[in-house]
Amino acid sequence: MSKSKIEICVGTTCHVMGAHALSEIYDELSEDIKDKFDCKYSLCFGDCHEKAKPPLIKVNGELVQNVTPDMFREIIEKIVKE
Amino acid sequence: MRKLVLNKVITGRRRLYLELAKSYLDGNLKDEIPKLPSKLIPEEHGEGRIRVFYEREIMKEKIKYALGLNHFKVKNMELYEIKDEIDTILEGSSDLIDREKEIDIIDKVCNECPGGRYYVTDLCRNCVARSCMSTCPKNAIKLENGKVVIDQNICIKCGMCEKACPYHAITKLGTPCELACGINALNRTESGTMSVNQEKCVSCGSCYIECPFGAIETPSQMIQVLHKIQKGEKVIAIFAPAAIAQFGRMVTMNQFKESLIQFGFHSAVEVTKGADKVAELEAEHLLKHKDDLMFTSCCPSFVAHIKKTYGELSDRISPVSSPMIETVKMIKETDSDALIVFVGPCISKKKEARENSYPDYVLTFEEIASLFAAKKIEPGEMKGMELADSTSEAWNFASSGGVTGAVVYYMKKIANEEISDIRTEIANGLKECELKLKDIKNGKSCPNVLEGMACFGGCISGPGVMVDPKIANMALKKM
Repeated sequence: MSKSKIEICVGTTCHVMGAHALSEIYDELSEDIKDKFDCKYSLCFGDCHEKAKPPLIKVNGELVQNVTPDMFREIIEKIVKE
Repeated sequence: MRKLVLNKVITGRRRLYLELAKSYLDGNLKDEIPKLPSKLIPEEHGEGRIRVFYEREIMKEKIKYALGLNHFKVKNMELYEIKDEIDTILEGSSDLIDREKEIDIIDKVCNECPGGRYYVTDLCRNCVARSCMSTCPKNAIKLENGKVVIDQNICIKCGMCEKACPYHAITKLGTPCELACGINALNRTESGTMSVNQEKCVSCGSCYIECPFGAIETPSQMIQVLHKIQKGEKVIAIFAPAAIAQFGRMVTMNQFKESLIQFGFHSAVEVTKGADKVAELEAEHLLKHKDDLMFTSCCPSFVAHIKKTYGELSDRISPVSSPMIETVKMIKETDSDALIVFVGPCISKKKEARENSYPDYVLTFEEIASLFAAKKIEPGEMKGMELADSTSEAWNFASSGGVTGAVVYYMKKIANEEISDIRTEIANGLKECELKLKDIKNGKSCPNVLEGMACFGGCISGPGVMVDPKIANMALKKM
């Protein structure tokens, strides 16, 4: 199975609005779950100032906005169950 | 060490700081201020409708704090009235600016938590034994519609029922601010809201962190600092060692330092420079006065607590000032005309700055991060600039035990031998500071050095941090 790609924006605006809490959640996942993902931290996507509400992540290339820690957990759970 | 939970009080405050800074940079702060509550708390339909009105009212008060205003003077003012004062507020000359308190409770927002009362929760199984009723010395527990209920008028809050229930169905509802305060500096007013006893309070910010309604606030200086910088004045930033990992573990201190320059500071100086000096001077002092007792001076809340409550011990406070003050003194030797801004995790430093008349401003990491975001400064994209030579011990001033570690390191270095006969004690968190001071006063303990830090875990757990203290702590170990 191919890995799901997650990019967490750690640019300043996303960081201020809580991207750090998302990376903490990812860090605390067990190794076998992490194995299903290809997760990386990315510099500013450039979308936060006008287009979208931070914090932003990309799941398999698709932009998701206003990601709360709860939402992030749900996203991961959904992918793991698939 | 506390766990930073990213709740809506924190994100709400950060969003406000960010929007405020953006409006200033866009040149329409005046017009935006009255609109900010509805911009930050958007319209909702259905169930959330009334909540929106309530939250917008809270936001109005928060905006006043974010502008650095004195709550007592502006509490009856509407935002459109404040708008007219904005020029003098930005310049720092307005009478409305707070120059007295670092922490206060917004009584309008305080939820009047029914602290200290016992309640029967849903976990009650309506059991046959009803030990709760049997044990109650005042017969305050009654049956209502087949369920046990505590009559709050009779209850004396002894807690016997809580202990008697095998299902843990009876619980005491605490008041979060009161529980968080290590020195009982909060009182309940007659109307039921909480108030800060300024005679006792040492501005540590524990209650500010804990209040679930965000009713406890600190006046910010961020908009004044932004104004000075945008006007092109010479402003120097000094940053606390707790800056470590505040922009995530990917951003190095070198990048953070460069970001400060990109933001518009004339230069950026590590407070670790002051920390090294403080540790060295304190080590010299201790080597000369081996049997003395010395309290560390780096935490302004700890120092304030000694002065306010243990006045008779105040001559034992280290003769050396804090790293922040020492760093400012170093800068003033060459740059006497510059404005100096301390960037750190701390609210209490605002008080220390005010009492010493310098540094000129104090910002928290939350504030500087919001300012960076507004000005699109991306630390992660910087090349990074060289840091001043500081020992890893100086960086460790940011965590509990670090100051003692640094002083002992310098004692060894100066004396050129192992130091074995020094008794050090560490008070981690204001509660422990209080306990250890009491023991010293009563002659129960007599260390040579008592390191006190009001925040549990040290400065990396301070009220103005961006990331979980655990992450900062891991980064400190690598420094």
